[in-house]
Amino acid sequence: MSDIERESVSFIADFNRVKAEISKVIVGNEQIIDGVLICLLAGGHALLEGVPGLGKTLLVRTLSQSVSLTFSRVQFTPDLMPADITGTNILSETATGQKEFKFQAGPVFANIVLADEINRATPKTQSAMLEAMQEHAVTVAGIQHRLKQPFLVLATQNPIEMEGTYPLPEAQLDRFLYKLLVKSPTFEDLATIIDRTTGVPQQEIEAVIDGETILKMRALAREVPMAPSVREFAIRVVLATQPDSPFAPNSVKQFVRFGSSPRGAQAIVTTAKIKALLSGRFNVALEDIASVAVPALRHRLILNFEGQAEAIEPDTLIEDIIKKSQAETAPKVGV
Amino acid sequence: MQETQYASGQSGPPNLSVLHKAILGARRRIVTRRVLRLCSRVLCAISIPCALSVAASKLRWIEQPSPIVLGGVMIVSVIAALIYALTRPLTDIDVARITDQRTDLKERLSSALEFSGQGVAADAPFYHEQFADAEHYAGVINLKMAFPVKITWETPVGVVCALAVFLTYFLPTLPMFWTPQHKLEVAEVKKRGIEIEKLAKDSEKAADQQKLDETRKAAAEARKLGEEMKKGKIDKKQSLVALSKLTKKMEETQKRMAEPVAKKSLAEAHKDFQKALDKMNQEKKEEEQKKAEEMKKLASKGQQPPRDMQKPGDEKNPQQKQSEAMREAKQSLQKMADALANQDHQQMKEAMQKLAEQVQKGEMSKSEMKQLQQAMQQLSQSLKDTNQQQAAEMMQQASEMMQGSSMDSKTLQQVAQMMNQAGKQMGKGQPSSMMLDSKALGDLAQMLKDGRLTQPMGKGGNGNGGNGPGRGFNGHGGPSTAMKDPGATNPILVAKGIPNANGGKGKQGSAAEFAKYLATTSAGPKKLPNGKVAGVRSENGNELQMSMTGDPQAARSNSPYYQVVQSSKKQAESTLDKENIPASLKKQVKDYFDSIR
Repeated sequence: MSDIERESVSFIADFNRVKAEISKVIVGNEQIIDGVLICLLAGGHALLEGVPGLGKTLLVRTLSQSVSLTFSRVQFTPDLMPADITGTNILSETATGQKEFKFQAGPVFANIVLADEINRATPKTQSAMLEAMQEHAVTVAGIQHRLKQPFLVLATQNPIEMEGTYPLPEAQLDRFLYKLLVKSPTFEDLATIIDRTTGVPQQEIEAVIDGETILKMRALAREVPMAPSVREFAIRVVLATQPDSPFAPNSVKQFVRFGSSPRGAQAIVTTAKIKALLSGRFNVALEDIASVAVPALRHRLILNFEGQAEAIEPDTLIEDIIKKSQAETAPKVGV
Repeated sequence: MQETQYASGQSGPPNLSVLHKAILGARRRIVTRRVLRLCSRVLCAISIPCALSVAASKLRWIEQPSPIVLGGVMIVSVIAALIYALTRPLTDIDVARITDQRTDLKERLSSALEFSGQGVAADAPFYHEQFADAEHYAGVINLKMAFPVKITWETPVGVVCALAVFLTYFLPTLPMFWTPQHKLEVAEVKKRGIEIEKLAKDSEKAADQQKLDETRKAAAEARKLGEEMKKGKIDKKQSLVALSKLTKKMEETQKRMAEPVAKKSLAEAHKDFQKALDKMNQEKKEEEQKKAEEMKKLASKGQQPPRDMQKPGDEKNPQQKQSEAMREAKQSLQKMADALANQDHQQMKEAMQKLAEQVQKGEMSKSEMKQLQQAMQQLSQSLKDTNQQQAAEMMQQASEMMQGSSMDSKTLQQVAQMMNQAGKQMGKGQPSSMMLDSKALGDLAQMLKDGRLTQPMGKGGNGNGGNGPGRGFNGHGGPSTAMKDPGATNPILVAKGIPNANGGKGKQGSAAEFAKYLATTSAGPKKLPNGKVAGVRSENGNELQMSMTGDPQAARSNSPYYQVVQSSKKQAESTLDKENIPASLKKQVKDYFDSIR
């Protein structure tokens, strides 16, 4: 067995161990857990959208416990200031009695940051957070402070109670690798939740991997090769989200105002590679692209007035795009 | 995770032999499936309309399509589909991708091929493992499962339709499906073929001996036709049509051969010339009578006749001198007219030479010369467009010389010389070989046409030919009869309004029925329904005109088929014009008669 094969086997095993630890606490929502872990391994950030009480915060906390990483939570409110996130210089007295400014790191200086109800903060605060997400660094009083690696922001937002909220602008939404929709639990899942939370105390979560392992896994995933035809398919999918593209299906032309940026393509390819590795392959398949396209693109499609009025789901449009792209790129050999 | 098959550290291009083998196998199966699918679809798409058109023709909605056209369309379409299926581009990457799809290999094979095509080294991280993975899966895939060679529904449907079309035309040609009448027909055609072949061979031999090119060619064609008929390659209708065409061609050739020999016959020339001579004589007589009457009138009044009237009497015994010269010339001209009537070239030559002698003597007066010049011109005009065209031109020149210049001895000699040459030319006549060829060709055509297959080819003079029946070609063979219509049995014509006491049990039918019969019968009148066609009154109503359908064989007549066809055709056509025939059938009836003409 070659090194790559061993590393691949180890990659899958580590992934499954973390997932198993999270599943001790989080019931159901397997796709959400997968999505969050993929974001962790891909070096991106995830936006979790769901009504209150679905375990979003618990998921993030459990994740941080299972990967032995530092965790901080910021509850976004309208009066939250950027310095409350990034930290600030405070005047302090040294041992010699001299006074100096000392940088007091904010909650963003953690490996996993939970930005709870991010849409309740003002745009100014949101942008401070989003800058840290993009640059992996914060600048306070002209001094840049690097954030810890791995760095993962998991933001949540509530789709209801839109009163007094500041929806994230498109440019800022684009910074998230995935947008994951947390759904209400099924009958069986809810039964399990009740049993776990109202009965005996919960099982203890163990840290099964550390930050260094995550960085290695991230590096390994980036090495997975992708065939030109598969890459072409990914490109077609991303371009098809733009209404003026020749690849766009009619539904996109009708309901979409703006499509995905190149970040969408980066997100698809990066996460598809992780999917390929998790499937035990050394090449990216079309299926990988199709499976990651929805969470990677759904927040990058800006609907026009007609789309909003018709309550068109971006997920439906992306499925249309995938179907059309698959049909167009399928080999036509006459059998 | 699959165990790698590569030795670690291998550099250079990857060894994907198993993968390539699998791709080759997949390609073959894809091409096979494609050929089957496309050919089946095309056959189905073409044969269904063909079968429908045949069915429609059986219902007499449309005319029966040609089997050659239908078969050709089907074969050409299938071949085109086959060529397209075999030559349509198919890359290895496409094969790998479709194989990936059908075996759920998640682009393992196609990715390996694409990486290999990019020139990736075999030991590159991840690529090395990917190649090994692809090789492993290429070795275990089941191509039969991935590309099953299945017969789709189009195949049986297409084959059945094509078979139905084929059988519709082919079955009736098998001897086991022939009616007794058709069998008789075939036997008759064979017999006739043997006779034609024999006649043609004899004709060819004789023509070869006598060097008659056209006859030899025509006989060769007739022999070929006879052979085909003998071998049963063509049916009765086709043989009749071919024979008809051949005889027509022979007649046209004969006509063409005759054309340059004489556009106008010598008999016609004789008529024209005789008429001109008579006219000239008449005019001369009238002129003399007129002069005599004027002289008489002047004599009764006691006056002297004018000088110009006295002129002929001024000379010493002028009447007698003029009469001798003119008598000789007139005799020669009359001899020429007789020679033309008899088509005797030697006599023509002699008459012309005598005329030349008369001219050369120079004993004729000016007026006589004028008369002779006019006669010569008339003769030249009469001979124009005959086989004596050249002689006519010479006479025309001689006539112009006589007209234009003064008649000195030198000129007279030249005119006489010209007339002599014209006489010689007339003596040559028509080439005998050409005449013989034309005649022989005509005889052969007539024999083929009339069915007098053992009639001799008239040669005349050698004792072997002759026109009497019962003699073979050049005296060989026995008498024969024309080919009868074997389809005719006991046709009985039944007249309307007349109780049929002795008529038998013939069918009675209208023209519509007759036309319908013709339309539904593919090959000739195997057995025409006997019966009557409703008659029509003439304009004054006193005469009842009635057309009959039926076969002339009813009267045990020995008339040749070809003669009967013409009269039958006329009867049928007049009947069709009078009866209400569906428009779609009219054309078929007309075509039928055109084809057997």
